[in-house]
Amino acid sequence: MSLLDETVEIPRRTMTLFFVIDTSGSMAGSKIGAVNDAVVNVLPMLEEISAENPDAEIKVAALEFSTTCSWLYSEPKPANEFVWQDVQANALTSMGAACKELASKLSRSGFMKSASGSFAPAIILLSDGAPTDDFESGLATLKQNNWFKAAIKVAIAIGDDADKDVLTKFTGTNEAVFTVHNIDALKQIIRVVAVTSSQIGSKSSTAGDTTKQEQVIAEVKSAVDNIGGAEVASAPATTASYDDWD
Amino acid sequence: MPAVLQQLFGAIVVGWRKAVMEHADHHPLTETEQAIASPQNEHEWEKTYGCTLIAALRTPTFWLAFQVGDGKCVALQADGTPFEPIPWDDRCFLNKTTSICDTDALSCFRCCYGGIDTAPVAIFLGSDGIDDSFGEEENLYNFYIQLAKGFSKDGHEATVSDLERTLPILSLRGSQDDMSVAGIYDARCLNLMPQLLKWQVNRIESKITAVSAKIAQIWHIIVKGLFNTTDREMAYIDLSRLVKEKNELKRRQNIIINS
Repeated sequence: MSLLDETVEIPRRTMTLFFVIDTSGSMAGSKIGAVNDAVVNVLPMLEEISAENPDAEIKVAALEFSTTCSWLYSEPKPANEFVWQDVQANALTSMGAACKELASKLSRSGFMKSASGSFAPAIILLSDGAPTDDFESGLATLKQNNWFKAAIKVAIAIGDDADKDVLTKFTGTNEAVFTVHNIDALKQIIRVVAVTSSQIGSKSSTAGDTTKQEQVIAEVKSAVDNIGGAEVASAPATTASYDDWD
Repeated sequence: MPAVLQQLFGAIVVGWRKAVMEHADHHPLTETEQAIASPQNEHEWEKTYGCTLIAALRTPTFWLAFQVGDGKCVALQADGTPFEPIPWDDRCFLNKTTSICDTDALSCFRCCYGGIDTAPVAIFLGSDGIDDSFGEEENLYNFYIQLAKGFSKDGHEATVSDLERTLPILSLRGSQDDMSVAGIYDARCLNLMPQLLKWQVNRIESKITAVSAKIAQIWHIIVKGLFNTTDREMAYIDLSRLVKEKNELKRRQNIIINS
């Protein structure tokens, strides 16, 4: 009798990539269109990374928030099964409620499996404005969550109206907040952040001082240098806005 | 915690630190090792010897299991049901773990114990490389059930040899980490084959139930979609009929108006 017969399952570890997307009214039009387009285009890349990675399977979950918040699927889906459903923009920016909803799913009763079988998740927050609800309370709940503490957290500030202080509080560092000023930059930065987070997040840790979040930040920073209309939020402020969303 | 256990754990920590210091005196870190370890200050060098601990013992009168850090202890009850007797420490999460090199190592010990009449029929101890390979606890339990079945069917020597052959394969297919397994079992474990098989059958049945429920849910969505399609088609038929009726009435109305 073999100890590893057909009854024994050795699943790949799971790394879940969360998109948390602001779908408030100000996102309407070209911004939300670019988000939809970018995520649709990045999914096959995530599928490829997942297929080529013997360490981990990448799953995708997406939470949209406006006046309320809702998940696109009731569970994280493997990248190859995740069919993006275009999100629509309307109404308010309940980012605090989104934080609480995210915290509820970052648990074993939610979307996460046993810590033994998982890598820390990667969370990408996209927003073009400021919260209209009690963000601090929602973030306080989220910051208690062990999965959130361990997660790779990156935020994309869409335009100059995005509240970068809020996004910095979410990610824990302004180094992880990237600002985009036009549609092309938005599409490119979503692709770079999603792909980099998935590549680094789904690999076993190696000895060293840098965290996975720091590794992601370093790689995205170097990519941002080559994307017109994108910058690291911690960079010195420019004198005038150069948003171009038409 | 009983004083005798506190004494035991204290003696382990003191003994470990003494052994670490002796080793460090005779084997100072190489430059390469220092570059990787990079202790923040001179008091942190002990952490380069970071180590988790998991142990179990059984005497004619009592049993005891204790742990610092990650890895899992899985035991089998008299009816073959697997369980984890040592309480979990939430500080051990993902790639972080408590260690007997922590400054507060004594507070990191977790333990369970009891009289011999409460002793599990088997206690298995595995380093984190083992449970990281299986993810969900049920998969880990199933591995130790397989091990217990091996002792029952093939005997001790053959099963230990099988385990030695299996761990490198498991590491390759699973966590790719180092692996250690130890255990204690008694004669009752050798007669558990029917119960262990029953546990495995129940596990598969639970999975079948879950998958069946998922299929039913998918069918529900498909059927609902079909009905929605049918409803839409019926509405179009109604619309078409009503438009025809309206046009006919208009035609008649025009005839009357024009006559």
